[in-house]
Amino acid sequence: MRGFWFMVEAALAGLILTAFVAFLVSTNLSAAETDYTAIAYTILADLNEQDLLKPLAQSGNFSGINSLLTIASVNHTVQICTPQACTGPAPTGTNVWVGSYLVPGVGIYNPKEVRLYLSS
Amino acid sequence: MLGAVLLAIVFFIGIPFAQVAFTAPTKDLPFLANNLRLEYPAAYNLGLNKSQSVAVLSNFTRFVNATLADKLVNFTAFWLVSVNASTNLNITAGNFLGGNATILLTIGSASTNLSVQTNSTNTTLFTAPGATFNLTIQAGGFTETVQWLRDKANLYVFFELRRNADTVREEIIA
Repeated sequence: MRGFWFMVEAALAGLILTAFVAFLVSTNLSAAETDYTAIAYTILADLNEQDLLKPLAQSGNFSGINSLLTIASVNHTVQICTPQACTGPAPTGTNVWVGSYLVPGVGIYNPKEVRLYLSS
Repeated sequence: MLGAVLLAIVFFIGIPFAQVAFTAPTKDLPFLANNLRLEYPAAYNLGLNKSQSVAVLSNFTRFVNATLADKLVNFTAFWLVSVNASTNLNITAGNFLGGNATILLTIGSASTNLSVQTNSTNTTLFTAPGATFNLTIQAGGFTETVQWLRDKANLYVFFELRRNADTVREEIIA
């Protein structure tokens, strides 16, 4: 009789393990990550399409660019970089994503790189 | 059975503490390529405004190269610009391909081999090409034919962005 109950217990254990493995196979336990780098690049390209980016980049107005943005669930900062240096606050946070847009100038040749940092 | 239950419980308790082992890096090369496709003609126009088109394009190419190097992107480029000289045509080539280059330029029956040192420019003159003409550009195994207007400032750019196994190549004709 004891052997019978041992068999039942083993069968139940096998069922539990099988259900467990089936759950692993059917479930994606890794949440899909939001591609914030692509979002940063897209935002800058969209600002350029709206003719908002270049005038602010030309004048070095990183806060003006930053104030145009409303992005849920992440912090955002903007830097404007010349070949010599960058102006604007550095990003803070554990995770940082960055997108860039290169601008040759407005009216005169004065190349700048606009960097949008997203961080959490 | 108790062991199986305990194993399942321990696993599910541990899930919140698991860290994502790997995330695929963003494919940013297409974004950068789109950026350059829009801004190379803009840079050329800025140079034309100051009659410094060749200098501006050279400077912009070096700026792009330095900026993208920070992103571990290898950037190489080659461009041609034309300016009319009465009924003749000056064509200037910029070579930023990482080595010296010889470009064969053909308009109709006239051909010129233009040697351009790396990271520099060189100019050649075509005589009376016609108001509208086809320019054939040959360099290495690469051939492209563009239709240009003599009395217009023309631009052709070929560039390549490369990072590890990812490569994006674009041409700009403006």
